[in-house]
Amino acid sequence: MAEDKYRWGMVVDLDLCTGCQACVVACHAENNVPTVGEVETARRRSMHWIRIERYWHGADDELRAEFMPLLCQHCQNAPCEPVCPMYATYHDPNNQLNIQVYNRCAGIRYCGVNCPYKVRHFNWFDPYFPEPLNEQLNPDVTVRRRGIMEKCMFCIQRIRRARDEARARGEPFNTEEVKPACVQTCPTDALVFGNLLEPESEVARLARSPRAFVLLEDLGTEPSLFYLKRGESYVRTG
Amino acid sequence: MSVLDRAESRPGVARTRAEEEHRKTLLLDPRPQEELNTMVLEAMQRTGREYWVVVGVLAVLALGGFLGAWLYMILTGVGVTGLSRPNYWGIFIASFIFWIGISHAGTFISAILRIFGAEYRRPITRAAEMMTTTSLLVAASFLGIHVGRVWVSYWIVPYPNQRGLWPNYHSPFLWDEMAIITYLVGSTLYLYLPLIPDLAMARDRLAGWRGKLYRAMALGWTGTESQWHHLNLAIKVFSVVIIPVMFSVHTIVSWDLAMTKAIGWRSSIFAPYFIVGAVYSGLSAAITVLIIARSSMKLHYFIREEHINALARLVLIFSFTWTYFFFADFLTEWYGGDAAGHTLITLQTVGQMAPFWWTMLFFNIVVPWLTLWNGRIRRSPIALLLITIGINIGMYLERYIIVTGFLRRNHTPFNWGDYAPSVVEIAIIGGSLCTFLLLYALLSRLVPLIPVWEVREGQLTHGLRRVGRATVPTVAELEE
Amino acid sequence: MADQAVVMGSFTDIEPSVDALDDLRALGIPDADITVMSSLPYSPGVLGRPHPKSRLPMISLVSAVVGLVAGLFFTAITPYLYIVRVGGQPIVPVPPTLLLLYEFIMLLLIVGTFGGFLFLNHFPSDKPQYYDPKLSDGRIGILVHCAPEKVTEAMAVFQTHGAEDVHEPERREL
Repeated sequence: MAEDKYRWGMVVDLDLCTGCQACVVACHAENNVPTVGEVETARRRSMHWIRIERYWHGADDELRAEFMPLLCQHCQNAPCEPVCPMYATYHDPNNQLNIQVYNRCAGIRYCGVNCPYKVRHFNWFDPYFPEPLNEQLNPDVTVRRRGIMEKCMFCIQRIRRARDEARARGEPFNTEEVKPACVQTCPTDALVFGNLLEPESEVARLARSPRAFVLLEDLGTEPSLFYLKRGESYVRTG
Repeated sequence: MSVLDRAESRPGVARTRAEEEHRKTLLLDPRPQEELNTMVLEAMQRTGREYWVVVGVLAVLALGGFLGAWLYMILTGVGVTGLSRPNYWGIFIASFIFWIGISHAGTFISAILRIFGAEYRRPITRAAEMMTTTSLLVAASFLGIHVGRVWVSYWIVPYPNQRGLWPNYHSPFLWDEMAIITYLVGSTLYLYLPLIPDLAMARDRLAGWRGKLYRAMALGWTGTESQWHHLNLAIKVFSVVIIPVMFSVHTIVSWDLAMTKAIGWRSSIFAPYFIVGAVYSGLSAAITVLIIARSSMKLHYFIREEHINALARLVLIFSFTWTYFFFADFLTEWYGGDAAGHTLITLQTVGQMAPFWWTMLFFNIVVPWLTLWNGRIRRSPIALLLITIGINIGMYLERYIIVTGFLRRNHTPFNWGDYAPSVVEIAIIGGSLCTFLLLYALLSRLVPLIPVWEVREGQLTHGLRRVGRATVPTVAELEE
Repeated sequence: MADQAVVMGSFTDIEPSVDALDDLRALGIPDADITVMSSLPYSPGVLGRPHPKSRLPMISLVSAVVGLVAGLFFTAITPYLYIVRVGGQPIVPVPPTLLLLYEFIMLLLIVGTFGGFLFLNHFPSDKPQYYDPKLSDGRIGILVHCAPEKVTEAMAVFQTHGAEDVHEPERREL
């Protein structure tokens, strides 16, 4: 299907992010991401497909926290893809997404080493869902076992479902309908998701904003995630 | 022999030290082949109580540390290691690189010295080649230990399967796999080929299970001209082919790191730097093993202080070369590196890696440079045993710093994190060393450690010749 | 060769054995009917024997070519059997492919050379052979296939040159 081409992208407005972590919780719930507990988190093994990075600014008397949500950047030149010997992570040419195929993964962790954003997460142990979290596992998403890499896939199960349902209804697929769990949950609408190939979609407009930048641009990874620079103004200038 | 006797009988000629040394390295005091055979076979069957105690202890440690701890890790998960998010690779990869490095000694001593006609190599080639094969086995097992799901790791082999999926040839890991398979096959066969005549010799003289084993392994060797001809040709082909394969192995191992975007790893100097380091640690390990084998198997006739001296000189040269590469790599990062690179340098020189970093410099540069220029030290087995073990500690730390040190810092400071190996990791590392020693100890009692026919061939062709007031050794091969 | 007799003489030193070889040739026994066995690789030049030709280099070359073909299949054809794209790289990347071709060539060259060595020597073989275990102690054995009437002459040659042992050997288990 030639017209079945999308480049899914996301814009994160750093001015709007309050660091409330609602997106993190939503992602855990939607994607069956296990919680690893305090001990493992302290050992830097937390498994948040989207995480809020907190950076401190200013001197002691005027300390300011700045938040930056970080998730898989869905690079067009993803460094993690070529290094996997099993093709466990590859570039989906239809959706322009960086896909992780859990079944193929042998846990070499080469992708994790080569990811400059460190957004790939490894299942150090078998996943554990304490009561009552085990009652709310999402049937659309597999639960990953130990020894496997996993990461954000822009809730591809939602993208697929929306597209298939539109097709079943015989309607054109409205890409604005799709919202990953984090975007859906964000109380301040700091996250905007959509198809970057449609020039008039909100995400494409915001990505053209003068405030927009991508992370570690000099590495040439061409991420699909755009950040809107933190500024004085709280008005979107897109 | 007659040439020797003539030189010997010349009255009033005092031998200089250099002459003496040449005579000893070239084993110019030949004994009948029967006696050499007996010496080698006796050494091979020297399995006293001490030997079995050592083997037993090693076997327990290898089973417990290596297989036991590994099995525990397979059953629980890689989480039992000290690895975490920025430090996805740890001491297992460092050990993998270390053992691959050790495996370079055999090829270097055997093939390179063979091609360049360094005659002192003859008695020590086999001991070094056996190290290559054994350490490669240990190294390859670390790839299995490292991965999260070892039970599917065979998917890396290209074979038609029900998934319809072939491996990804873009991945340096796959290049690595190919290089290691090639090197393992090549070095094992290269160990085996020159062994065949010696196995035939053992077959002729031993009965029982050993007789049966050697009868099978000698393949029906009778030593006819055409057999020798084909053997010589095959050895020539192998020694030419195995050298570039050896270079490719460590080159690709270094590219596993150098192909990434990690700070400090992406360096074009890594390939030669790693090769030099590998030969450096490999030669040192060869000296360690030769000294131990020589005294435990009573091989003083074959392996002499002069051989160790010759190898120790090479070690000193490689110490210089390693320092050169180390400095070139360090200076580039120090001078032209960005802020992230500088955090790495701080981490290593004064930060948490500093104890390892300075110990590495001490064992790799200070100790060899202060000692190995001295001929007396180069001839002292005890001193060399300590120095070479020190060098390998230093080289292990080098790999540890390169693999685990550089991953701790990256482009996004939120994801900086430290690493220390866990008990399980240390048990596996210790167990792997015991496995190597165990395999080597068993192998040394199963195959003749000295290539008798090569030593004899050397003794037949080398001689002494008067030039002016001196007697100099002459060297030739049985060509033509 | 069924009607032919076999004589074997063994020497401790190389010089008399080479002299014996000359005399055997003078007797009219062609080089093809003489086999020298030793525990050391005496070259044809040392023994004064014709230089043998070996097919081993050709086998090595052919296996290297097989390696190249196999390498091309794995690195350049299998990626097209199931196309999986990875970021920013072509389906068949040229520099890594060259590297892998090199490894495939080397692997097959190594395996092929070893296989050729086994094949040319008919290894492994557990058939009975003409052999003397003393050969591995440094003796040089000369094995002569000749017409039965020449046996005494050949034995005489061996004895003149001081052979340690002259007899008509049987094939024996090694």
